[in-house]
Amino acid sequence: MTATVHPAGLEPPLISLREVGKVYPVHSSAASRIAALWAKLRGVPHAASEFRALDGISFDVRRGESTALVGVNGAGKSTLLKVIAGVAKASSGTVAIHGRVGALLELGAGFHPEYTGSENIALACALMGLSPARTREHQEAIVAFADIGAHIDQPVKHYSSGMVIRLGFAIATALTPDVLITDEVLSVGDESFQRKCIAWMENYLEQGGTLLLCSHSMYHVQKLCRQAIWIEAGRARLIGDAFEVTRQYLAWHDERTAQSRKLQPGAAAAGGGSIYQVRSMRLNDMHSEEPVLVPEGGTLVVSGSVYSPDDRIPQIAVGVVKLDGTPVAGCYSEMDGFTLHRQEPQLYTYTLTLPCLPLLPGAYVARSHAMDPEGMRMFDHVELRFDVAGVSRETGICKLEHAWS
Amino acid sequence: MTPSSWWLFLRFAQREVSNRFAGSLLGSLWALVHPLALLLIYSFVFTTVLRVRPVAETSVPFLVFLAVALWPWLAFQEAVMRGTGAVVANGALVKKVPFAHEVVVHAAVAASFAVQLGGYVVVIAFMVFTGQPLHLAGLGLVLLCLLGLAALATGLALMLGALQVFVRDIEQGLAPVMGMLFYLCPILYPVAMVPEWMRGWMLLNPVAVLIEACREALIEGRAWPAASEGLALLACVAVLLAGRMVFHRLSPHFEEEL
Repeated sequence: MTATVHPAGLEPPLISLREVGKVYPVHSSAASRIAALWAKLRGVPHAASEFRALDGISFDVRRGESTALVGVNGAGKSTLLKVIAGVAKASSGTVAIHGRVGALLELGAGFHPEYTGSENIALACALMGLSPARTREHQEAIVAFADIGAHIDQPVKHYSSGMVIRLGFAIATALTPDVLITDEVLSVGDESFQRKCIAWMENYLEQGGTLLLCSHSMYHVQKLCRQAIWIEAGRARLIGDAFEVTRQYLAWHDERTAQSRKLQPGAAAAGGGSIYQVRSMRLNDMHSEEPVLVPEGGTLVVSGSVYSPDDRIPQIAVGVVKLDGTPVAGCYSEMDGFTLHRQEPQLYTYTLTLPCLPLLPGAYVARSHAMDPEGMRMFDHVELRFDVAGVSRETGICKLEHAWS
Repeated sequence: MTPSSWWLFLRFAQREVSNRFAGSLLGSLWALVHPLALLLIYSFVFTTVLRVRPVAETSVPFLVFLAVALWPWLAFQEAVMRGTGAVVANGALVKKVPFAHEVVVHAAVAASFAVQLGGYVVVIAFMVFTGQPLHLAGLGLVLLCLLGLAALATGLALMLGALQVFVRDIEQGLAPVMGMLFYLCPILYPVAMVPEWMRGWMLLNPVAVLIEACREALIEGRAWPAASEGLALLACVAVLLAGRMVFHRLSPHFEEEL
């Protein structure tokens, strides 16, 4: 943490990007290689065939405003993280960083395979600029967090990828950076370590830490981040609220992947499948195609079934959004400790009752998301529209208990 | 270097040294074996086979005459070659972790000098112990010349190491060039044996000037640098500055090319 205390709102953004572009040279011949080198030595731009990885990206990340990058593979997310982490230099535009950045860019980045875990901790600490004395201060905590037992004294080349990520995460978080940058690495560790990481991150966020992560898990994005940036072909296609961006991204993504199964609510899809999926969904036990009508302050019952490919008990998330996508509320069976009922092999049912619905009159959508048994990954979702009818003239989304005096 | 880079430099230099001897039975003794073997084979070729008579002014045996110049050369040669390859060798790190890239070059140069100078100290001590007439008063000048060679090696390694990232031919070309430079420097022979008209040209080579100075300091006891050595030292500093400039121009682009 920086020693200077800025009055709220006056603190400069932790990360500030303006019109950032990044091009990679593509050398077709030895002559073009030499020409590019000569141009760089003279410090002049060199017009050659190049690959534009990033183009005109601008955004700010303020303290506590955790941000996720979403987008398909090759969109430029990792390059953007590299530019922010200081590994790659922006070809154009400005990158301003205020505060300490901790980066975990790739599985085992910066590890020397021949060295033991302990030696790699020492090297990594030196790379972060720590003196040997300060390294010793942190060594114990890093070893404890990585929790890989006696392997810490064995060469990293003998580690499993899970152990590598444990050590990497333990090192990157040892100094409690102002911004922690991670690039889709959480998916590697085992369940217990993933939970440990998530727990660490939630605690870190509570204490004012800021995350900048790149993830394909929309659930992680929504759970951990406030802001999201959708990167498409090196450009920022959409920047804004994490729920809104992920919603639009997913909608676009679904459309793009033609083979994606569009589940019709109420209709059980034929055949098996390898992912957890919502097989049916009903609102107030109605089977009609029309939006269900719920009176103001009435009860909404969301029920349905979830298919589990390995017959382990899946988790479910149910959310309510306004028709325009504005998120209203979301709840998770995992957080509430609810266990789905086994109706038949591989099929589990749930019923969620929302009594005294405090929603104001308007059009809403209820969504059911299938999740894996660990509550880590969200698979597909099914949504149904419902309308709240009433005469309330209050404004907003929901009704708050209130009293005048 | 910033203080934080300084710790990293020490860590890398230490790693370079320990890497070289890790897993070998003789460990750091190997640092002495290679130069000693060179010393013996040159000595055999020149004194036994070719029977070169040392010129009158050198009063010491050929072995001693060669030894005082061989170690500084080996330190310089190894530093340039390892320093030039350092950035590419640490490519994985350069691509993944933000740090001051010149640290790997400095560490390679420092480790090469540390290892070879360790051998140099042992050999000088051994020669003094066995009664060779070496002048320890000249050690100050030797140190100054070694600093100059280290600066020159650093400058060359920074420059060539940065270019090596873009044009991989550099390292291939470096070995024969260093091989020729060895014979162009007065290591196996004294400057006095070089034909008169060529000596002026030799002064243009700072490596030749500084190595000859090391020898004069230890064998003749000269304690102060001559004008030619002063110029050579200036040239070393100039190369160091030029090397740094080239390196800093190119290092932001390393990640794109590695």
